[in-house]
Amino acid sequence: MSKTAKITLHPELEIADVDSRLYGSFVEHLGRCIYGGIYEPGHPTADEEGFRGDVLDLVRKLQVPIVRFPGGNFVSAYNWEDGIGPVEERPRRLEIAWRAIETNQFGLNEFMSWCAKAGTQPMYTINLGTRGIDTARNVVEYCNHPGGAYWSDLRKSHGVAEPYKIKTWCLGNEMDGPWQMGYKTATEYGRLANETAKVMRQVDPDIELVACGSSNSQMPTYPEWNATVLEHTYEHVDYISIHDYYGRRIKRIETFLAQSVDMDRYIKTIIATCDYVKAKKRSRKTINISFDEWNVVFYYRKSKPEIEPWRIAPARGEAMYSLVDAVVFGSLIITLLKHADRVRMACQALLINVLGLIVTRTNSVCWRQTIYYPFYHASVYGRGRALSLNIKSPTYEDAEFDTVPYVDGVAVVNDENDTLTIFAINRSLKEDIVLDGQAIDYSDYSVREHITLTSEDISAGNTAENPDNITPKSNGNANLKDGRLLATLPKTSWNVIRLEKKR
Amino acid sequence: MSETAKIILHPELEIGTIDPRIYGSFVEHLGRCVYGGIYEPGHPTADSEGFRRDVLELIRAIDVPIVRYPGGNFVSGFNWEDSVGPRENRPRRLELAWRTIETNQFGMNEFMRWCKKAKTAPMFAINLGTRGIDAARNILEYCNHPGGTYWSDLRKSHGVQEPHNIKTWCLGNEMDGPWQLGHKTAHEYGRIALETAKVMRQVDKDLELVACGSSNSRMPTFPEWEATVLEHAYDEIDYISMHNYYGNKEDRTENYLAQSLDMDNFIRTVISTCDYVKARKRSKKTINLSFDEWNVWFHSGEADKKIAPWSIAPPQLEDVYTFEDALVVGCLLITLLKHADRIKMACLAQLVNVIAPIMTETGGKCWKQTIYYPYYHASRFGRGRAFDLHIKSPVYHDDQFDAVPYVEGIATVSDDKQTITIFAVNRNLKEAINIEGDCRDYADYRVLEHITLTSDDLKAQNTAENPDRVVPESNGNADLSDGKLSATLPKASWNVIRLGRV
Repeated sequence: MSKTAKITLHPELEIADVDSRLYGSFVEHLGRCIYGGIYEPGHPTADEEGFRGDVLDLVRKLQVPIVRFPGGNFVSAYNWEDGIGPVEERPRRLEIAWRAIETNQFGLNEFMSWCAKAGTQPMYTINLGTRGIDTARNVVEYCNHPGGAYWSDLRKSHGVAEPYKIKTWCLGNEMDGPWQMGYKTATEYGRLANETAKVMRQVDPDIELVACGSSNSQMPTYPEWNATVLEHTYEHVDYISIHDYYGRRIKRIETFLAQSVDMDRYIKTIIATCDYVKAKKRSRKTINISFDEWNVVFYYRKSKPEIEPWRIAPARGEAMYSLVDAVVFGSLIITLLKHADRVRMACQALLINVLGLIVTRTNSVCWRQTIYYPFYHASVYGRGRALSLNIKSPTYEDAEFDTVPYVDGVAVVNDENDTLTIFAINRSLKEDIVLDGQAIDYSDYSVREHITLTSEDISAGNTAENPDNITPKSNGNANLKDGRLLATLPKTSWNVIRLEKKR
Repeated sequence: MSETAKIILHPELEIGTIDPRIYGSFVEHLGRCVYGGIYEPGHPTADSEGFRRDVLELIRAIDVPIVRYPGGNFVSGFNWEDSVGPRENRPRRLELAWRTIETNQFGMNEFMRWCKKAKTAPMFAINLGTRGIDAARNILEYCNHPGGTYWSDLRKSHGVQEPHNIKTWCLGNEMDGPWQLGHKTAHEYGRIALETAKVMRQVDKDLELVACGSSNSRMPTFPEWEATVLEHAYDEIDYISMHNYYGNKEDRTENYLAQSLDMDNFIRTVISTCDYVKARKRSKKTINLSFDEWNVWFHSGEADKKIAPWSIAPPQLEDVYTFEDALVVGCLLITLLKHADRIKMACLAQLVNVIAPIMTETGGKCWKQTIYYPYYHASRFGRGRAFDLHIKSPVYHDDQFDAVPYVEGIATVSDDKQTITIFAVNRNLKEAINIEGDCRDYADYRVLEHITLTSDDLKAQNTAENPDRVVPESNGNADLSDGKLSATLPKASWNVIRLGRV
């Protein structure tokens, strides 16, 4: 007899409207994300600007609403002026964050042009590592000011007549990390971020600003960093950014599968920290969260390859994501949705090649990693209002997380097209689990499709040679009858149960 | 036509299990709370120990689970040893917090005997104002150690063979307040609270300890005080205390009725602060809240200024409550229940005479103030588990709170699931509001009773001459059939809708 997890579908279990920017991604000048990834002049599918058409196709399918750029660690030593103007005049630079050579063939204007083609919006990060307020004001003027002044006229001279009006700006990247170029203490960063924010808003009052929170929840300064930064910046920023990559240094697979429990605690703590500072500042304004770098790290990767310094676009962070990685990835998306009231933006990191959803071979094919699919499903079907499922799941014991539910999930209702989509994972390595849902309020709905992503071999993934080894199948047995939903969640699986109102 | 508020009773909207101690109260050596309140030898109803039986009866009716004692501000200048041993040897002292004379005729052992008769449990506050670790270890030994040592044997010599085994202890009172005797900075207090807690646990491992949080949400040091104190004391304490009093000095009743939103925000902030420090400390332990002083308090300010110092048990803080105060107390009780997952204790301050649900005349009668009733109803019927009603209520505008829902409410389900109680306040001063409730999952329940507390005068009071001016009536029209609940909440009313399983 199978184990059963009980859920409740009820309109009053609403969490919040999902901000579509929850399905954002990230493009950094790192490894082959840009060069050989989104940009490869001479590739058979490249367009006149050198953007790979095969990659653009896969990106457009994802309907990514926002893409962070140009870093990451890269940005903390980046001179944005190197990336604009005539391509032949752009300098080759030592890229000191990742110790590579940056040719600057792809820059700000190329990125904006790519965004338009990919159907996405930019989230632009400024350099608060080696640089500061002055370059920040310049890049905002270059991007957002109509013209009639030095930097905006320079943009026009580069062939861009209309300002980009970039709305969302990150005040640096991971400034709490000792690895960061121009790393700062919380007080140093809080002061600089606040003064930079004020100056940027003098140029354009309509922008949204994101302050750097913790690089991960194991940082020794966590969560005090966030409190101190917000004490300095509270009235001048809109979001606090948090980052984390899950699965690093995890040995036991049961612990790996439970990583979203850690993410959940992390988000709750940051919310508590924001609200503590809100009360301290006597403020009516609420700071929301931009989880603008997140991903899983390959569970089955044996060792990191050595990378020679000072090469152009060396392969970095490239390996095959497995099925079990995709299940954990799905659990992280579910966790973000469970906090849709406070997590308003999130960026899966990175879009291409470097821990990417999509992998390319230079001058050759591209294909989808296993983790592409949960992201795709969530982005395409997860727009609307998030509903808690109040899951009562059987559990297992884990040394790090104590009691872990086998089943995790969330639902998203879309009132415009009368659909309700349940995203759910089964963490059990051995057993299918039956999802038993009380859905009396949705008895006029029926199951349109029950998609599963699973495999007998949880270490299997997709390769250039076998790009469709692991793909979602519309083969689940979900059934909704008389207000009761029953569905089998296969062992170690990601599930999308799509309900729609009967017509 | 009246407006409508929608509610939902659904088993998945559970907030948490209600700790009965959320219905606690408070007895301080202040004004006539002890002397002339619970203790008055020579009163016609006094028992052999001098406890007023008329007062005991009203308290037992409420079923108060825990009573904080002996202060309050009083405790920060109190030497507990003054209050034990033969009465004739007990010193008269200058009581510095309230500037009266303390006769010490009622003390530690009298309180414990009174607790037994009132069927309640003690929450004992120690003096971290004028005193410290040493007095704390002594009183703990006196109260909880079986015997064979100086302080425990002293207790025995006072006729108390068995240890009192007091479980819940407050590490001082309102130490963030400049008015407090021996006021401390957050660092000073955090350190002394931590070291005192450690020493107290050396005497008795089986204690629950409450550290002082902010005295109210307007303190300039709030909420950093909580964060700093918890940084020091996190591992050794179990609860952080909160205090707050509400009033209507400017006679703006709509704003006054919305004050529970301030309490809600206060509670949320303290929870955030606890959880922020939890993450900082990498702790798996969760700190819960003890809201151990709360009430309406504003009527008696002028009268108190006229009281001469150094008198015995003067009529201090004797707020005579109005009908509208009862509505506010109702809203505050609902707010505490909404946070039943984190608030494990709360003390209505105080129990008798001093800002209290029960009033007495020294040598005369006692009666129930308006605020007695919501407190009584909540304590009697609000046990078990708390459920959010997801109220969709019409709202009114208020400068302080923006949009305020007219209807405030909560449900409680008894442990055996045989009874459900909905507590609700209608803040609308002019019109009744209809409730429409989706109770499909409780279709096999029926309305047992719909109690309302209303008045034709917001300022109506219960007094010695007219003690029943404001009383609840079982006259509401609530009905539950086919899983649909309907009820009219009269304008400006407190409502208790009791459902029972058929």
